[in-house]
Amino acid sequence: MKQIARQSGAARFVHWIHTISCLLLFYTGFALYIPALNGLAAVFGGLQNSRLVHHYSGFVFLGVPILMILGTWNGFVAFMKEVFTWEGDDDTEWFKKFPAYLFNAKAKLPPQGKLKSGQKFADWFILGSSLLISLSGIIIYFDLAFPRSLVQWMYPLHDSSMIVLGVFLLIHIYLGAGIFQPYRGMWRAMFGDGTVSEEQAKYHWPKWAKEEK
Amino acid sequence: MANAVLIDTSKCTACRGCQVACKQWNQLPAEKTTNRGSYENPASLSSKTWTKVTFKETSNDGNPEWLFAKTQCMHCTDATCVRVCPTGAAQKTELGAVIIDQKECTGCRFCVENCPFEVPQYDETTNTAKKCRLCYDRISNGLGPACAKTCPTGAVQFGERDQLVSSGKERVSSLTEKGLTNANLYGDTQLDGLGVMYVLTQKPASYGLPEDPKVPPSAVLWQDILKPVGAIAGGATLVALIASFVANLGYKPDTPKGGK
Repeated sequence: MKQIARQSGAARFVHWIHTISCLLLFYTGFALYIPALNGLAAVFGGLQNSRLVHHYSGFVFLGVPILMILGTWNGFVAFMKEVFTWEGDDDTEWFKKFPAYLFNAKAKLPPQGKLKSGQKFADWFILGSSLLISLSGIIIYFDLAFPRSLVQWMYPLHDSSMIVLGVFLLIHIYLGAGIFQPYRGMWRAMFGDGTVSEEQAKYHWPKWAKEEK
Repeated sequence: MANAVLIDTSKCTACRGCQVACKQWNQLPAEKTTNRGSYENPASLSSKTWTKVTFKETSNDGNPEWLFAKTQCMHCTDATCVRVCPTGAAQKTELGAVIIDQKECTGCRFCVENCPFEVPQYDETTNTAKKCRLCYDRISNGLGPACAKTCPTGAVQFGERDQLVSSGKERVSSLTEKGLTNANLYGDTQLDGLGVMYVLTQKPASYGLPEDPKVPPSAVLWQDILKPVGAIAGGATLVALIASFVANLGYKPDTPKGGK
């Protein structure tokens, strides 16, 4: 069966880095900051070490994408254009029908371009909350250099960004890892060779599949 | 039994015996300081200075007045440090003392940044937050804290909180009778009752004490609102995704017409 290239090597590399750093951040974050889950920190040899893992993973989480954006500027601009372009009624209709489709995968959805409208919508929140969680994390890390009144608000900002990111991450894993039945095999695009099958492309992104032919 | 400290500023001579006794009992080293044009020294609390006497020069009806007050951890009943501490290192003990367990503290500085009295101080060498612990080792053995023990004028009293509240009120009314009309008792109601109360001869602000100290609203949002919101949001998402998976059990993709 024919495979179509979907994710570049650079995109897959950043995704790998983010997969690892994000999971470490969530794990150590829960272990450190929820007293009932302090025991989880034993995996890294206690709370002090888990805190170091949280900090270092945070710098990787922010630093690697920044370097990659600077290194592949044109690709990043193209991606941002894609993310912030709404393709009219098809996108709106798809977005409206998607929640019901989650519970009835046999339903038909309007054709989508390279990114489904739901992917774009998720990307806005993932990009936004990632920026806010990074910014607040940096201020919390260097707290003694900032005024207390600012630092105090960074804690709820860090946590609310985490909640938004966490909700989208759960949905992202469910869909992207192909736990959701129509998305089976999708993992190859990010964790495998960067391709999807022609069949998958036609089913998920028919407008894009036509262009790629 | 909740213990407390009552500091009677009308009896304080600013001898700073309490500062020395605190350093001695807790084995805290001296700090090198510079002359800032005030007897108040050092400039602020630190990881090595857990109590210090503030010297405030004010004027009272045109007459100069020098106000002295011993400052340290307030041992709040509703303590912000206890609310925000992520490891349970900061605790309000049954003896009334708020302590930071140095073995549990990870140096996150949440208490340092959120205490309404700006009391806990970060120690880089131990990577922990430090502050007055009401001489927990002494009071749990039936002794008063070192500062109260050493105070030569009786300005620092340690005892049962309820008793101190009533003796504080009595002292305020006797001071008022003597013409100190601004005299007031500070700390009996703030933050559900402070473990350190003051008989003040002037308004709290003159001593640099906040009139109405509060747990910062950002800390309430963070600890009391976002935690349940996060749990509900995460839980609801998981339930929805599991329901979606179950609803689509047995799903088979359509075979494309004419495809291989």
